[in-house]
Amino acid sequence: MAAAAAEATTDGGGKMIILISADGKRFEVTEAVASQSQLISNMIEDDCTENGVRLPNVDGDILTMVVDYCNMHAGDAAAAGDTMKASSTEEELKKFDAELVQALENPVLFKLILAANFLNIKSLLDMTCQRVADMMSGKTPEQMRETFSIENDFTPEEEAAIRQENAWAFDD
Amino acid sequence: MMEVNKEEDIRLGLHRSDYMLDSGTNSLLQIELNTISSSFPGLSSLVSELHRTLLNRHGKVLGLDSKRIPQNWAATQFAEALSMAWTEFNNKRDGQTVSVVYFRAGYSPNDYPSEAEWRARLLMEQSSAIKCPSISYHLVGTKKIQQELAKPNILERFLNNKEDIAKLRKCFAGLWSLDNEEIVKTAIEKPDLFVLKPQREGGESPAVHADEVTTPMAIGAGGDRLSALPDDLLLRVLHFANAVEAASTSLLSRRFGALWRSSGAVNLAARVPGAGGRDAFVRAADAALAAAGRVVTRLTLHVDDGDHSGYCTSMYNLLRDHDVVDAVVSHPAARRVEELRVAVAVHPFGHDKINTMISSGSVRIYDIKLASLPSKTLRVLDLTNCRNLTPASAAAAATAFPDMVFLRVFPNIEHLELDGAYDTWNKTAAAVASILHCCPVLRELKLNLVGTSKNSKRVQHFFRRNSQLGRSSTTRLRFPAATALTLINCLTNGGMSGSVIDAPRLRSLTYKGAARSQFELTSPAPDMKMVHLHFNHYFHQRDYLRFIHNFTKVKVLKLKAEHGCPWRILPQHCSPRARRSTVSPDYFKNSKQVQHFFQRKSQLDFDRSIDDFMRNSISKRGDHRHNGDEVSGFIPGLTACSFTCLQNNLRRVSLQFRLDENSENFGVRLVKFFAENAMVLEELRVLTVETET
Repeated sequence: MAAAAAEATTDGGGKMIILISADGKRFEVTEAVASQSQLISNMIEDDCTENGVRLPNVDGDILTMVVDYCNMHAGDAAAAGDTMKASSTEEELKKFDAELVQALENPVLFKLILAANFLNIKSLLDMTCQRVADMMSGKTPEQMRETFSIENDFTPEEEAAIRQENAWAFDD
Repeated sequence: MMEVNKEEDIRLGLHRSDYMLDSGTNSLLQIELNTISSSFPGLSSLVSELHRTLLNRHGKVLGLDSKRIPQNWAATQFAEALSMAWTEFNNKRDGQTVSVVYFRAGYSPNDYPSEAEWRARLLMEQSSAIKCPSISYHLVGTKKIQQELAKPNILERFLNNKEDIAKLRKCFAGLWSLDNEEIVKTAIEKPDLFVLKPQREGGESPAVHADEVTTPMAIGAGGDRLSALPDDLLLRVLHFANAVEAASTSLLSRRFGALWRSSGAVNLAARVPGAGGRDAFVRAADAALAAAGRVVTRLTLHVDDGDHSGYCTSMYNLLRDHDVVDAVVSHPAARRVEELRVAVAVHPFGHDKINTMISSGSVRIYDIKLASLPSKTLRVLDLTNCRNLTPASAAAAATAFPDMVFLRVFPNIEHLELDGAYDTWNKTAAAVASILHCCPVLRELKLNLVGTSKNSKRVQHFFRRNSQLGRSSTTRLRFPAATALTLINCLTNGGMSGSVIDAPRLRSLTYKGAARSQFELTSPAPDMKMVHLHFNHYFHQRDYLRFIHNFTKVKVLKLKAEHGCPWRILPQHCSPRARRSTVSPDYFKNSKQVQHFFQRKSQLDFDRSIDDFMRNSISKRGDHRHNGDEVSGFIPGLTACSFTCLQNNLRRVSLQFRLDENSENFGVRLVKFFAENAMVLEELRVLTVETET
């Protein structure tokens, strides 16, 4: 989109930053978008993003999602205010977020959590952790084990002891 | 100290950098840097002497030359450094001023048993004396800093020379926190590769270990399983989980075990059951709080009545005992809660019955007494549909919230009518008002009060109560630390003569309500970035102009008008008429984006107005409507005014309108008008909505 490209060079806040994923994929984003990551925001503040920011812990497919998320929420952080995306309404954002996390397979969701944590994007971290908590909702321990592929390594005696200790939670 | 931003002219650092020999690569790797109480130089000087003596005697046998042992002057040099600091301080006159403070203690929590010790440390830090170490040097010694320095692009912040950076990085040992499960596993399997180090000097808690490997923290590896997430992330998940499910994780596997007890959160969700709902709820809440063991910092209560028939009676059972929430909040385990969220979801179904119960006074929904709140620790208070927030007598005035940064009060008027609950409302208003008066660090405030005009009197009461100028009819709200305000239906068309908001650090404002001419932002907020305005009442151009003049420097302004003539007010931002009144010539000089939305709801008004325009246009210019292929450049209200400001500054416009026979013509005109006249326009967004049939 021509307008979007023009935007990159016009405003003061439109300086571009290159993010480089573990597998070498490059993402060009505005400072406003990237600053939602506290890690990168600090780097910007200290002027060390010149040659791109290498993120050896984040795969390209995960970084794609993170960048999508940050683009969408750029206007949300009041500080941004430079991109037309700022016009996303609160409902649109909620819908986008809900669709983003609900579509994720478990391994991807966990990787996204790790990436949000590493990049220090609080809202994304909260959202993804909340999603896992929601997946636990209403489930028995057995169902949770199945959902998250957890192997039960307790002996029957240990399990009985834990049940007794937290009886309030297991009594229906 | 960062807030104080004190300048330290002279710094004294007595440091010791520890290395270990990595047998794999035969290189020396830095294990830690000591910046406080680095008292070993005396010892290391002696150890050098010991080596020398040994080699003098047995060097020949070992094939080593004692002369090649470097001299170690650390002990004398440390003493010299201390005396040099004293000289630099240069105050030999009085024998009282302390020039140099050397810390032999103060690096372990045990050294700070009470507030008095912290105060003493602060006093020293604030003094002009040379500290060895200063707090910043002190913190540099933590493993966390070393861990941070090892991250990509961090060393580059402090050094320019690439060779130096490479050399330095080469001597970094890998650092991992115990949160990293993979590393912990590896360390257990190959303990000889790792060194376990405490996070801080002299501390007893081993938090970090280091080894010789130089790969960065292996985030992502093994992350395809929930169990593989590090503890701090699992805790974050548990932080959001409901109490019962959180406790259930103790049964999953050893990995989870008692982890949930450390999450610091108790989230209670009640789906209103049949009979005995209240008791079950309170019992479960008590058990969960008691089991949480450690101090609970986050407490949420979410009550959903379910949407099934007959729920009303259950709801009634639960709500009848109006102390439910209060009982939970005032539980001893919740005394240090920092984040409290209480929400009740009320489904539209069955309102009438609830309303009847409310007006008869038999139900007092979600009674929370201010006095029950853990006010000293509370940082976030988020209440939805808890309208009975009551100040507990006069004592409430003294309830301070020194740490509160976020306050959100959202009664949901669409679901509950307040008729007959006047006293209740008043009490809530007074309570919120009294909170607002005593949270000096409040950063974000979201208030959604009442949406119907019936309640406007109550709203006035609310703001009168909150007014510091009790006698005056002007409402004055002061938010010294607020960066984001959301005021929804807080100021409506009523008898109030005005409201003054003093928020010097405001960055974003969301406002829904009337365009009140007396709305005023007293202190200019230089960092104002984003303003969302939603006028849901009819408003006059004059009111709008006076309202909007508060936001001349804002970067993004979004305006949504349900009634009125937005295209009339748009050019007024810089019309000569406006300039003559209250508006500065630099109007919206810095605005990058002005948006107007027209809601479907207002379509009737919109259509009518367009008809007016068309009629106007026809009478003045002839009938363009039937001139199918020609779209006139004449837009009443726009073309007539001076357009210099928008012409030279407007960069982005977003228009939304419904396509029908009339508005199509007008919309297209408007689009054309912007395209032709806004000289620096970069983006024009047009969203059309099909006419409903």
